[in-house]
Amino acid sequence: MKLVPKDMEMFEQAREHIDTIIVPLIGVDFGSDTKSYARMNEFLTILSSEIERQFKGRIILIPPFTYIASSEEEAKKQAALDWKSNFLNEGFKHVFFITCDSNWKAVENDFEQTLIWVPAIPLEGLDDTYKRQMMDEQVRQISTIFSQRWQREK
Amino acid sequence: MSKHRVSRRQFLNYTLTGVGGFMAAGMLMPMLRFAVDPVLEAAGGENYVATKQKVDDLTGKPVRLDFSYKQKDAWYESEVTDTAWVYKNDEGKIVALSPVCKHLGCTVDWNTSKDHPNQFFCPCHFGRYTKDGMNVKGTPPLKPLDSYDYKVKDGILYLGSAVPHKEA
Ligand code: FES
Repeated sequence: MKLVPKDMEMFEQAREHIDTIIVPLIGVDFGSDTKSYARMNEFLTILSSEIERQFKGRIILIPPFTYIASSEEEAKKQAALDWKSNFLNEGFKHVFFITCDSNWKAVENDFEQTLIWVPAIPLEGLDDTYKRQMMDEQVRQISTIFSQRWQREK
Repeated sequence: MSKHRVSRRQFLNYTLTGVGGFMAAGMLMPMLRFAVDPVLEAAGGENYVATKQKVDDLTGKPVRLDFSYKQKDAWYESEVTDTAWVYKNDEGKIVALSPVCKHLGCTVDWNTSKDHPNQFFCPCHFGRYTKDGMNVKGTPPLKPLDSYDYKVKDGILYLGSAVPHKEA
């Protein structure tokens, strides 16, 4: 589900079935890496909306956690983890972070396997069919991670 | 002189019926059009989207077809992608099912549950449907999968809108 009233109505009626939050982590940079951060943004936006489409009935895709790319790692991490504990307190069972920014890999361990990093593949100039296949493949891989988590708790 | 002279009264009668008839027709025609048009439109104006699927290549094994079309919202014109599971059933008839799970709307997959092969499986709350799209009792979904209207043109499959399953 997305954070829109129509979906939230459904959420309120079926709360016990919707136990997972997805948080995209998206950096912004206007220094030397402008374009590569823009690419990550484009890629992750499409990817997360595809994930949302696939798992509409169990996850909520919230607006991205957005940060200045050059800002300090520790502070970013803390803020993201605060989001996580907040959602867990709200009764959600799973909070997944998804990002293309490899800087997060340094602090991966603090996220206890809930941080999913995917490389942003440049989409410029790719033909539609190919783009779609590629996205599907990514979504499939991430699905496996979700499914494993969900199965484990059963 | 003929005895059949048209009396003044008759003359008026004829002309008035004539004119009245025209007037009535003039009024009725547009009304009729309004009444009938939506019917015509629903039949002829339905949007079918071409898939890449050649009908001859379809088998009994469901394949996943993605097809896109433009949708206009208040703000954006966006490209929407929909998916269908398509196969030929035992009678050779094409079946095109919507992958949207009737429980809470996740996308169902074909044959991905090891314990329940040859069924549609929903990863979210483990909902299941038999190949013809009927929901399996005891799993969360309470309704069968929707199916797409379709049409075949030049050997290519065209999909229309997804309609709820007609209860047998
Ligand atoms: S959304 Fe498919 S089983 Fe719940």
